[in-house]
Amino acid sequence: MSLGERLQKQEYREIWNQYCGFLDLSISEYMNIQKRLMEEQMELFCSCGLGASILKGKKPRTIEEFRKMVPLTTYEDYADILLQKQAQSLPGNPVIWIQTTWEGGKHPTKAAPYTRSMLDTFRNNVVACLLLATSREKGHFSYEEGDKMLYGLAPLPYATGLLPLLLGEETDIRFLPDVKDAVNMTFSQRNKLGFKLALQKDVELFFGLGSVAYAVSQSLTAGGSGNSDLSELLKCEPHMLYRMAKAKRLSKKEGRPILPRDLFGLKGFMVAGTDNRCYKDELEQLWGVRPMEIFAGTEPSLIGTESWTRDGMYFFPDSCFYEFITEKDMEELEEHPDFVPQTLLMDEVAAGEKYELVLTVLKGGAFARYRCGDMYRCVGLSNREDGTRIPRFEYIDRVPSIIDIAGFTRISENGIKSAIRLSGLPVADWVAAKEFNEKNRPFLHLYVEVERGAFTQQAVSAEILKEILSTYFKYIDQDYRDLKKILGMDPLVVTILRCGSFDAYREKKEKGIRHMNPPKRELAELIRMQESNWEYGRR
Amino acid sequence: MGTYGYISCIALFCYVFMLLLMLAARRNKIANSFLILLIAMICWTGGSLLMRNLFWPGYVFWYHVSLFGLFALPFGYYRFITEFAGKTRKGGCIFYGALYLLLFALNVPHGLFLAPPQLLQENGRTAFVYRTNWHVALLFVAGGLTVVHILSVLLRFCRKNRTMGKQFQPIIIGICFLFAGQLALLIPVFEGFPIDILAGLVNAFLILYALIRRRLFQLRLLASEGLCYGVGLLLNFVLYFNLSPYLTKVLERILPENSSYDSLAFAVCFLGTAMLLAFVWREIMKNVFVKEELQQAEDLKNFSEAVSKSLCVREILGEIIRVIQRTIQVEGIYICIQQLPDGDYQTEYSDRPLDDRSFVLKKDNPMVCWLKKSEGILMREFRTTVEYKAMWETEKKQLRDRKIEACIGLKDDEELVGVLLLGEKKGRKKLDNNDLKLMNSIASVASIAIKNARLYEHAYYEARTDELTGLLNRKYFTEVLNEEFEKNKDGSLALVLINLDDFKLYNQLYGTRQGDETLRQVGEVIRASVGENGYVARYTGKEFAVLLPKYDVYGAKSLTESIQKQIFYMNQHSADCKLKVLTISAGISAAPYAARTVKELLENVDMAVYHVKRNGKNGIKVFDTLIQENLTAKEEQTDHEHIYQEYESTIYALTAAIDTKDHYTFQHSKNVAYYAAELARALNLNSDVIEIVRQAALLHDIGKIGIPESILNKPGKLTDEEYEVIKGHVEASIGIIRHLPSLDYVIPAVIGHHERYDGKGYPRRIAGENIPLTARILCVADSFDAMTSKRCYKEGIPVERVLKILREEEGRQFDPKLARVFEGLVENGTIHVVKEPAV
Repeated sequence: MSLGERLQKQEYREIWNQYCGFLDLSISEYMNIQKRLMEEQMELFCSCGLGASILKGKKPRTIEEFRKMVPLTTYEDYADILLQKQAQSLPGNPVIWIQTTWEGGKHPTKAAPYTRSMLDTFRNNVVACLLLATSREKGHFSYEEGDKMLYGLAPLPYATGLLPLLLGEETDIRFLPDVKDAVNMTFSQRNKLGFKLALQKDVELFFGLGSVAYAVSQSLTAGGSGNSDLSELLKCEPHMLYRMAKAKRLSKKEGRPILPRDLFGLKGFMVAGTDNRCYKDELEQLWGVRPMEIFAGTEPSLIGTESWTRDGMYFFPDSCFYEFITEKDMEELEEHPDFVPQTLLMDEVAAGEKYELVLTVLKGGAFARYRCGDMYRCVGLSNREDGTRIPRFEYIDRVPSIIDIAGFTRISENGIKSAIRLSGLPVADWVAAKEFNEKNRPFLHLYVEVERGAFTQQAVSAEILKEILSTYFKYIDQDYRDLKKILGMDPLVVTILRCGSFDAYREKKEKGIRHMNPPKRELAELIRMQESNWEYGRR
Repeated sequence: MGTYGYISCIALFCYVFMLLLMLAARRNKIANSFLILLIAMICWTGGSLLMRNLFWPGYVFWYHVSLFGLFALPFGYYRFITEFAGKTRKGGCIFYGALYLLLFALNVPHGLFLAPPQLLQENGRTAFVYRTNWHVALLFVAGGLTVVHILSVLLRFCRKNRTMGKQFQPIIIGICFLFAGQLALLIPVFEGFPIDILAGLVNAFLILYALIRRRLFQLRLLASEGLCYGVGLLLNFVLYFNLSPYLTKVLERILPENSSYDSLAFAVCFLGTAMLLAFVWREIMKNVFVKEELQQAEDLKNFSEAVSKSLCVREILGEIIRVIQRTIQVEGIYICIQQLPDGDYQTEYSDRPLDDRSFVLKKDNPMVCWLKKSEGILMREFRTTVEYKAMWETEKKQLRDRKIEACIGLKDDEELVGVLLLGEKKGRKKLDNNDLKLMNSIASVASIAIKNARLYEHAYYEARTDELTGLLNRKYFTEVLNEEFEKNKDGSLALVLINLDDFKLYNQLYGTRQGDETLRQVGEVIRASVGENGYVARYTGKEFAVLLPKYDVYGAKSLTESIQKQIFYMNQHSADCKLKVLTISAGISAAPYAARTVKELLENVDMAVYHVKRNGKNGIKVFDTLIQENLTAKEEQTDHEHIYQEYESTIYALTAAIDTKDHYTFQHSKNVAYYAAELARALNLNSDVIEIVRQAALLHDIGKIGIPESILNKPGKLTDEEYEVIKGHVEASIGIIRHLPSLDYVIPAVIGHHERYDGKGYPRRIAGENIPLTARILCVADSFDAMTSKRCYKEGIPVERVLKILREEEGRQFDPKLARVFEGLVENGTIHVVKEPAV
């Protein structure tokens, strides 16, 4: 029975138990589900061509053996089979291939197969998110059939495009704009039309990237109600006209622009992507509803959601088998790629610790012990407030080797190298770090050292470097271009370091500094190098 | 009562009936709000009826009661509809409650909106004349607005929820009827006709229909005790209301003299008819609405009786299937039973004989885990549980393919002994919670019966089977033999006795554990060969009996030959290829050819086996009269030569072979044989074992035949590689001996003679008692001779020094017990150190 049918029968308690019941699991019950499904996946994985290529003839019989025999993997390990879409070599029959960009990869895109069983799990879990987003306390939610969702995410073949399709299988939810129209629109067009329709028909739900939601909300605020044209006003439903009038009066009275919360009474607000914590407070201020964070990705599918307390994400027990690399081991792995870290399971994590997530996609998924490149902090092992007894996590960021800006673009070392190479700028060495400005907005900070003598040959100010590098970033990365276009963000800041700083650092430390997101202490040391008397070749 | 008074009467009757019905139903918010609505209608209709009939205390009072009911209707309706939609609106309820109470209160003193009618009595007929003014329009406006509001609320609910729309349909129609009825009063055609009451009645039935559709109460409540008596009384009241004048006349006519008993007689009649009506009502309702349930209860009772009488699990499973088929008509019933403690649940029984019963529910299947801690569940509900998340796709598919709709646990206390899986119901119906309740009842009855039957079957099985082999035991076999002998008096019956040759030796060589394992394997071989054609029993320790009804001698002999062959090759296929080959001595006899009684049959096969044994074992003999004579002749022969003497020549041939290559090894073997045999003798081992030890000692280094002389007689220290070659002689010895099946009994001693007591020896690195005794003996003897002998690369060590080494190595290289005995033998001179100079 679908969600829609159950809603019509008013089986609210049953609905909650079906979709959100996993929040009542004890850690042993949670692990039981994890291990049982992992056994199933292990059997599927070991008996397929992809599994054989990774296991190299080994045949694990238990989960422990599987964890020992299967090395930690990255997309490189799957690329040959997955990019050629060799369905016969996979653990399960794919019904759809989901795609995303592959930053710094050997191919512009990554493809991930989804089996029907994975989609069923995805669907159930996305319904859980929908219910939790509209809930203010345990067991109570306000989602109703026919509710409208302002949907600010990418369509198929991206993973987010699955949401409308899967939700459509379960319930009568209406998307603004309609999915079939949205497919042919650009991101910006979709958002604009979505808001226009929301103003006409009202909207109950909003789902988008935190950064995009913020940018769009800001534009709405800046543009007032946006509807002064009479013909447009005539399309609005009477109660929306009333709300507009009321919002206008209120904004005038309080001497502030119209805020979305004046126009809409959102039941639920979901955000995905990175850097959401930078926007959550403002979004709550704008919409009057605290956004609920969920986590989904192309390779892992939908894996986590916050609860009604909005205090940390819980991982769904049936999407993936989760393993965690401690922060210390992760850094060791960065330094020495041959290092084999000991992973922890969900019942072994400790509160307050940061971990890199390693996952094995269940239900016939292709990825085993896959480093998806995300870092989480375990907020707690149980929560008295919402009565849960399973660990909950907070999304920290991507792993240091990737710089993700507002969930929009992922900049890798190769990407920066390409931009510098293509620009032809006389950059001798560089370090990139993700930093946050005074408004808590993320930006890419590039510390560069210009080749000796270049200053005399050409103009190389920080401003020029920034302009030229930005141009090349936009050239090689479509998402980077959209950052400016959609979010109005210019995320690059360039600082020119004194000549010889890198060499001085190398001489002092007897090792080079990591290019991507080096530890803060090391970066500070590098910056200090230019202030000291260290000079290349003269000690 | 006026011309149409009966309409009000029927309406009142129906409302009271519904009130009783709702009182019997499960109480919830919707039922309560319907009760309020019904009470309002009863006030309205009852008040009107009593007013028309000028009941005490007066028509004005009943007018106000009727008007109160009418005024309470909008409030009741609003409350009912919001509750029905599951969206309680307290504000609206309070508003309507207060509004109409106020209107009523304003109307009571002076009839502000509608004054009490004027009573006119003409020609014995009573009529009411209403005088209305414009104020009444206010009432209609208020009522009209309330109806519009209620309808708008209804429409909003329906628009949001399509299913709700369907559920509300009868209620909407009912409201329309009700309001139309009130408006119709203004139409002259309906003057004097209580159209409003009729419309109200239709409305009440439509609401009742909506409640039934919503499953807020079940029709079987119509047969509930309270309702039966209530309805009986109500009907009786209506009956006597109409019949009392006639009845009084009849009573006066029948009992003219005793008129003082009129009241009593009337009361008795009233009570009697009331009881009768209640009884008739109950019977009708039972037959119409509860028949199915009664039938189910009857079926359940019969089932309980049937299973409580049976102690056969399969019979009980059959009964379960039958009762399910009778009560809920399900197609596809599977019963999975846990065969072993902590094992999986294997399909044991199903309703269709050609069903695939290979279906297994794993013990950690989430459904099994659910049933362990909870009652049965419908699959559609199970799919919504968190436990379902842990189901494998293959498990889901298994259940889907079998169209399983419900699963119920068969429990023995807390332990889940089985799982009952139910497929689809016949027709287009679906299993529901009522079916599940019934199934749970069946399962709880069945669980106890299954538990008892399993205990009984287990005890019965244990009483008639041999624990080790699982074959029949001797006692039960004798019973079977007697029974079959009787049954096959006119046909034929063959008996085969299979005796394993040299099994005592086998046990000594490999230990009783291996011996037991071999007996199990032999039992399996015989059982598989005989199959359903006969009975197999473990007759004595190493003797198996096979009873073959309808078999003649020829057939029995063929079968025995097949068994003999399988047993002969059995150990060759085993993982440990160093096990001795097993042979059998089998005797066959058959009735009526060679025996007339069971006793005779048994004696015959015994004698046939004895005959084979006496003739060198490893054979099959069919009993005939000649055997007796042959045996007697044999008995007369003087002495039975020791069986091991037969192999002496082979052993000497082999030792001679090594002598030609390496004389030292030949001499050494002879010395070791002497020492080992003496040690075995001192340990009081039987003559067979002593002989085995001696022969093993002669052959223990036979593998050295393959080692180059340059290594064997190398004067200096051996390199690691050369030492590895030397170590290989043990395996090489076995390689030679294994090709001589008649000598394979020496293998355990030979293969283990370089093992150390502390487990650091070779080739198997076994330790302590795990090393065969014969090997431990050989180890001491071999080491002693090696140390005392002179070789090209070393001098002989003096005996005293050797004895000291032996003592030092007790518990390390040597079995301390054996070493001490050996030392004693040397010290007391029982063993003479061989002085023959070695090469």
